[in-house]
Amino acid sequence: MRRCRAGDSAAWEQVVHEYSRRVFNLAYRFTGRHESAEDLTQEVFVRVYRSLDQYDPQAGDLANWLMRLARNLVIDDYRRRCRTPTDMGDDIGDHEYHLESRHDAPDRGVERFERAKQVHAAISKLQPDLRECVILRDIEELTYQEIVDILKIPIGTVKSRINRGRIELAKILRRMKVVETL
Amino acid sequence: MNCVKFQDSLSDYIEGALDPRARAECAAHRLICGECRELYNDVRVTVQALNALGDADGDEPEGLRDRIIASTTTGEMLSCGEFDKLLERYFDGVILAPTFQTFQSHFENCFKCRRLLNGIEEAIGMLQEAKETEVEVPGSLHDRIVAATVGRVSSSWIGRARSALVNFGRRLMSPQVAVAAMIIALISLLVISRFGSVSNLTTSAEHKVESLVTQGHQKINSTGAMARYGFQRVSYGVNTFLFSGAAHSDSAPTSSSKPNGEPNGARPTPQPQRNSDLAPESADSPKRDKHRTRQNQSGR
Repeated sequence: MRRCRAGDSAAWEQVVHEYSRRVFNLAYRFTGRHESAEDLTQEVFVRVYRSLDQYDPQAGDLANWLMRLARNLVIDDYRRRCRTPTDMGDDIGDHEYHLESRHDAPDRGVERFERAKQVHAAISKLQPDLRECVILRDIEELTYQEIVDILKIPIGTVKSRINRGRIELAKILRRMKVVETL
Repeated sequence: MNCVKFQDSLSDYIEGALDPRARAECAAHRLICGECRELYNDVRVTVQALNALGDADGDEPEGLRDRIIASTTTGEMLSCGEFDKLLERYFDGVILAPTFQTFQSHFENCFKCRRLLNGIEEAIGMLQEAKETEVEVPGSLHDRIVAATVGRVSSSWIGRARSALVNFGRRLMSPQVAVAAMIIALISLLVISRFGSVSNLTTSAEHKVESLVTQGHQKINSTGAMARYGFQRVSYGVNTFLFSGAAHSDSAPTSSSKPNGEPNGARPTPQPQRNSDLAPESADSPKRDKHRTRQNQSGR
């Protein structure tokens, strides 16, 4: 990171290679669209690059610092889009999702990919405030306190939203007939 | 425990965060309530599926890393804010070599910053031009400044005269006056190169006038001589006629005094210019001399 700040492009490329996948997946969970996730990931890295001089190695390792910054940026973007819901979840199908591929395709990788896609589709149907809590807790696997720090809401609210979000998501997946296959 | 309370505690129950008593109550409700049992199972599976999503991140799209690197290491190698901070040093020429490369790279990739830099360069050029072409200060400005600062309307009469002189001088330096002065100077130069000096020019003009006057006099004299000659010829003809008449009659004494009464009577006899013209009359001249001698004798 020190080399990155000194303008070492090779060191920066290494950082991009190491974290682009995680950041992209995070962005995809929140945006629900590949194109939006790509753009958001790029934007996050540009912002990270410009904030390199704010990184303090004493305060924690690079992964934590970078992912914390990325989460904040992604959530900012997510909340901004929630206020103007124009392009949310456009390329995710509706309740027609079912596991035909399970029988048609013997490839376990393809099956897993299809299932993950359906779960993402279900997540995108959640209420925005529930969705961000569920993603942070069950996918990003953050502690309640970390979620409190990111979302700046009381811990009771965080817990309540996670619980309601999980129940809501389970109901959606059942309606989509996905939950039986999980 | 009822269904609502069970659902409220569901996450804690699944995560094992309930105290033993609450956990036992939930377990009991789950056994007797089919709907809550099914929900419990669905939520547990859903959370497991979500955890699996987090553990197995999908691959990012092809080319995304390259896009990110391209948009950071080249285009955003230096943020626009950093670029702004370096601008002054850039124009002063005191940027260190490695920073300069980064600066150049950003300049090439960032349209906004490139436009900014070009704009500043143009502005500097325009300022330079403006510096070289000074605007004339209005004549009354000095007085206005004095009035606005020290409160006086104007300075002493010497100061006013001086400022008036300065203003007059400034007006003289206006482009129109400068062009007129240049034309006059060119004419003077031509005159001097032709005549040596302005006094030589007047001298030569005097000479010219003098020679013209002399020529005029000569012309007048010659014209006068011709006129005089013509008149003499006429009077001579008259005299000849009269004398010839007297030769035939005795009226000669009355007519003989006539030549003396003529304006040109002071002159004794006309001077013939051409002998050929007087040739017929010259034969009568002895008669006339004789007649005159007789006239004088009678007068005595």
